[in-house]
Amino acid sequence: MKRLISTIIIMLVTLGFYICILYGEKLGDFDEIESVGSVMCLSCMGLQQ
Amino acid sequence: MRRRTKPHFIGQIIASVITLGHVPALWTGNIYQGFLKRGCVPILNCWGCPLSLFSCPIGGLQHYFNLHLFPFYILGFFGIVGMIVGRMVCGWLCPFGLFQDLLNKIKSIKLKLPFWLTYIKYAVLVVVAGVIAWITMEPWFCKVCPAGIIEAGIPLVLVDKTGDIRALVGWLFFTKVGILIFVIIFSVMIKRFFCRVFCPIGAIYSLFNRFSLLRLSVDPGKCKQPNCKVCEKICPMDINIYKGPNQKECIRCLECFYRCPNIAISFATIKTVSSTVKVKEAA
Repeated sequence: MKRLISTIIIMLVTLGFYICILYGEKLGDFDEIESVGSVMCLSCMGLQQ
Repeated sequence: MRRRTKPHFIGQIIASVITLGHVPALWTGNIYQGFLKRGCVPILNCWGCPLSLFSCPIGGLQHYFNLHLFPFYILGFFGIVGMIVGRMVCGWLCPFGLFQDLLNKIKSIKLKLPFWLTYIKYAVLVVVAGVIAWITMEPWFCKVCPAGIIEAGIPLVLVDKTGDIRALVGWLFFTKVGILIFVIIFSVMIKRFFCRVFCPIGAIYSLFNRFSLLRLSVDPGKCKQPNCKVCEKICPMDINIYKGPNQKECIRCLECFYRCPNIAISFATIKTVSSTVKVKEAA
């Protein structure tokens, strides 16, 4: 019984994280990450303007 | 003993080739700007790296903190990876982990890391990649990340044909080079020095090790501790797996699983009872 409850809790938490990703996608997170990842972040590379 | 080869090395090499697979950058120096940059990889992967095809999750996390937004996508991403495999990605996928593994093969004085230093990475995660990034609206972990300088800063300066990039080299660049040299020196002497002390991604995944679907267990009947100690000697994180197979520091490289002479270590999926071996009981 304990094992079943443990399994269900883990599945529910994983589902919660999956919903987080879907909600983030709805808010435009994928586009946001793409736009940031595609620019040259000079300070991240140790370069300065 | 199951086998002597190190499958996680093969995994690390394949992952390095895939994540750093933008080969045209070797002669153009241009950063990849395609569709794949929407996806994060679950490891340190500087998105400023000309070879990088994907985005860095810790860079993404800081980006959301810089904008004062909640990072739903990044949180969900870390959560799913952590819930499935825990810290296994550190052992099997991370190119910077592979770099440290190779450095530690250099013959030198070998030191044991005091365990309390492993708590620094949680401070790095909360303070540097969290609070400071939120307040200053700058990705401060990226500014000090040694993976960033070795994957992005140095290669871009080397392939720069116009001299525009080279002109931007200043104190921050040399600070990062200094941090990289510090990490390299200590990685030669201490196994996985950066992963254990500073890596914020390792800090996140380590919290999932006890709850993830993939876990390890030690059979107390087969384990010959405290006389054997093979697993302790070969462990890249210097942990005693027999004292707790799902400790926070375990990166599930499975070295102990493959090389245990008594085949005492096995996979455990969802279990409610800890299979920790009490050393005294085993003795």
